[in-house]
Amino acid sequence: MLKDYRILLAACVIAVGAMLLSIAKLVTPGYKAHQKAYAKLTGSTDFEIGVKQINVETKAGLLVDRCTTCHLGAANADAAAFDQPLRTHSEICPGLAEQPHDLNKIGCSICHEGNGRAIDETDAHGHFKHWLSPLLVGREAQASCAKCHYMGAGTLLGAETYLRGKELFVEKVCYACHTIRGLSDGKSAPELTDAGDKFTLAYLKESIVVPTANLATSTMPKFNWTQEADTIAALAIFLKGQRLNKLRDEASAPIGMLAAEQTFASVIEPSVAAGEALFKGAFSGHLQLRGGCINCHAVKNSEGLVQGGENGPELTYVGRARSAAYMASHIRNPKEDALDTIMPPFRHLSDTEIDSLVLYLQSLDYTLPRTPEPTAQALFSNYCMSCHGQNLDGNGSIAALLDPLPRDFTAYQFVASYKDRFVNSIREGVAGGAMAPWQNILTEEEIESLVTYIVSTTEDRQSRFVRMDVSLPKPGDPERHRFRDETRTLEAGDITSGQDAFQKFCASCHGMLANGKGPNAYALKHPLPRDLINKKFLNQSSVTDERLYRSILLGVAGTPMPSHDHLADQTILDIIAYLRSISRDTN
Amino acid sequence: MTQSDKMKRREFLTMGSSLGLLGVAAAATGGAVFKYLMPVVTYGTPKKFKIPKSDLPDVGDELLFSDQKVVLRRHSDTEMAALSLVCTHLGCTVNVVETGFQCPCHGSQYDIKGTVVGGPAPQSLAWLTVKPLPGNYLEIDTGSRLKENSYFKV
Repeated sequence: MLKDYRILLAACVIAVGAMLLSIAKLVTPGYKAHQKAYAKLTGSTDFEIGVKQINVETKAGLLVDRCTTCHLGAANADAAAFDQPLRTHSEICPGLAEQPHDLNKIGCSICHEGNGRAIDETDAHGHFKHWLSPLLVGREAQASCAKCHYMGAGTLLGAETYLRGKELFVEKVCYACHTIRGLSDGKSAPELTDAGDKFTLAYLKESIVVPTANLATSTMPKFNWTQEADTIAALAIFLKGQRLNKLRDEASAPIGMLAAEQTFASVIEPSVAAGEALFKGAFSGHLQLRGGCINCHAVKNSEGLVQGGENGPELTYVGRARSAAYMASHIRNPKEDALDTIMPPFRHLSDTEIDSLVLYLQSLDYTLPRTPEPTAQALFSNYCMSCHGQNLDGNGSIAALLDPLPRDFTAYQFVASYKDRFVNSIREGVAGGAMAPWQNILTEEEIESLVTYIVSTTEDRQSRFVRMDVSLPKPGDPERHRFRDETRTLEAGDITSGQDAFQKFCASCHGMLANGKGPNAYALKHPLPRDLINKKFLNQSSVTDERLYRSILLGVAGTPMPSHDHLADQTILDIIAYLRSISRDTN
Repeated sequence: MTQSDKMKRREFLTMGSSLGLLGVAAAATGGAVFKYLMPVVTYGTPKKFKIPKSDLPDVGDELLFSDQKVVLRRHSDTEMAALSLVCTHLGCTVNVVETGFQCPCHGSQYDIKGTVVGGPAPQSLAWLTVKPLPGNYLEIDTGSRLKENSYFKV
């Protein structure tokens, strides 16, 4: 019995101790120590310990700010040498004789966010899960300048990082896809006019560095400048400053308020130099040029030095491969030529700017040195590798964002079946995608040696695969399948029954819209289902009805496209008729 | 006494002391909850407000804070005072006039020191506590009520 009472007593003592401890914590809050320290440091004898509060009337209601409960010296110039949290706030507008922000009136959380009502450090700094506005430290608070100062063109003292972020938004070509009202009108990506209200700074940073971190299906490129911490910080601070709900409107905003109009430099006379500046998104005088191709596309200079991003095809040879008209139209509306490209349209560029870009691309003259004669492998590394990959597996450094994906030559079944097409594909290019015609850059011998090289890598296995040779049946021919021993004759393909058959047999991968984005497409590996409404692809001369017939009947060797020999010839002809009807070139 | 009686006494003592401890804890908890429920902040215009010392008027001059309904008066180089502008009759804001203060609502009149000289006001205007704060600030407590001629060192 005695033992039990001891346990009871011990439990009581522990419980009471814990209770008294928590009560003591409530009675002596964290700020008490700071306030005592501050009173001691300032030599004030009658300092009143308690919660200090600043009420700020805003358009959105009363902003309660209790930060000065701990940050006692924020507005006290004599507290510059004190330790945080008691130290004087640094100059918000450096160099001004009289600082325009009265911290006793506006408080702290209006700029630094966090949780102004809280008086516990973790709570007040907003460092808890799902809090939408964690503390903005140091220069991050510049994201809040635009809450009151309506910043369009022009500058604001003390908001240098924010303004640098605005420059970067154009320089790093964000403007081409993202809309920020008054600044850009891109439609290929989510609008960011209200990004600051929707997202935390950390979320914005993360989404710039790893776009798929917060949205798995994001097609935003991973840029090669995401290692530059300053660039990311400035961009994120600028985006955090984008808010629809501001505390002041145009009429009541304090000094620094300027028109929302953003002016950019424009090119008057087309020139190679202007094209290069546009390509690199540089400044022209004090105004910025709205280009920035270099963020996605790399180019080699005459010495072969590569510069630029790895999110789109390298453009060193495009000036020789493609016509000026093609380049101009591709810059204005890329989806016209390559339906599934992620490249946004650059419609804002004027004719002179487009001409300058074309001139610049045509001025690039790097070619792999021909003396001594380069090996086929060297040719492949120079011209093909960035898309088709070092191991010829179609996973080059820029492949991930291409659609259709570059051909995987390690699939020996594919090489065995289609190697006759390779020369033509290199020479003429493949319409509807990124594969350019190389006939103006590579000699016939070089093309031959490239094909030989590609074929040779899987030569040992190609004999394992033999593709059947079938020809396109014609209307009037007997049906391949004999139903109930009755011989049917084929009729010309019917679009309506072809559509029905497509929805039944093809839509799971190619999608109901035939755009290659069916529900099963996401589980498939390289290459993905063909986009069958890509008119440029389907209307090129090498895509014949016979090729479509073979691809449906036998499948496409070395790809996820299976054979469909259970389909009647008539059904396949119907499907081909349907595909032709939806991809008919209206021009 | 038997053995079982002894045990009973021990039992009583143990139970008593544990219950006593619990009682202390309960009382402390009650106190803490009461303190927790007491508001520590205000949502209207705060009763106390800060002004930098550099904003003080010259000797003989006055400075009006219409939002806080306070007038600051510099008495001499070293002394100043703060007077409330809230009429003691029904709480209107009194106007500063040449002879002192006058209430626009019911005509209460005060002299230059806030003493009632006419009208329905029951008592003189409040003189307020002024407290120096670290960092060359003065804190004026609009909730206080001091005697006439309560001057404070600057």
